[in-house]
Amino acid sequence: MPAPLEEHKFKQLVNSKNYNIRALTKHYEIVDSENNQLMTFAISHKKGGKREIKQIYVKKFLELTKEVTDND
Amino acid sequence: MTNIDHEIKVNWSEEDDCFIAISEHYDTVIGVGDTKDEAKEVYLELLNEHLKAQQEGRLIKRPGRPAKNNIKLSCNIPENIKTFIDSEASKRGLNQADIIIEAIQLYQSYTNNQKNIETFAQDIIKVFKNYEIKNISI
Repeated sequence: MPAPLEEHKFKQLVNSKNYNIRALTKHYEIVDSENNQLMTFAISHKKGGKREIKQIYVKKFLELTKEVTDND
Repeated sequence: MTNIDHEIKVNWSEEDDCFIAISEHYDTVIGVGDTKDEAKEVYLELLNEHLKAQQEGRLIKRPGRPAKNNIKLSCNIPENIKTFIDSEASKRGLNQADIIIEAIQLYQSYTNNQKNIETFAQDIIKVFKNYEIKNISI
């Protein structure tokens, strides 16, 4: 099961699969090189805590990238 | 804010230590929050962004649900069964799916008639042999 990731580590993971993170008004979206949206997500951070990406988003991202790759 | 015409489920996640809001309609939209209301609010905000991207025609195309009567099945089967299916398919010029469907249909007819599995297995072998003979005679 994927664990929650710190923001920069999640960004590295996303980039390693040739996707990018774009900031929206309040949240974020993951897009491909042509700016097509794969999914959206929110960053959680408690007072004094690190900004982290909940594992449900990490899991969903891995699931979607596998699905899209398998379909190619 | 988006008018919601679908059910949003909000549950506590032990793994993520927060509430998670999801729906069956938009599987890529997930809200998270320290309270149920917050998770739902984040869900709705992300849904807005998802719908905006959809309107702009910039959602990544996904495989989606298979057409009716066309399912994709993935399973682990013993090597000897796989060899048998491959061999039958090859002999009869069919694909593996045709062989599996035929076996399931036979199984269904036998279970409907409450016949036992040994009889079913024997008849499957007979059917395959018959096909082989037919193919040769053609």
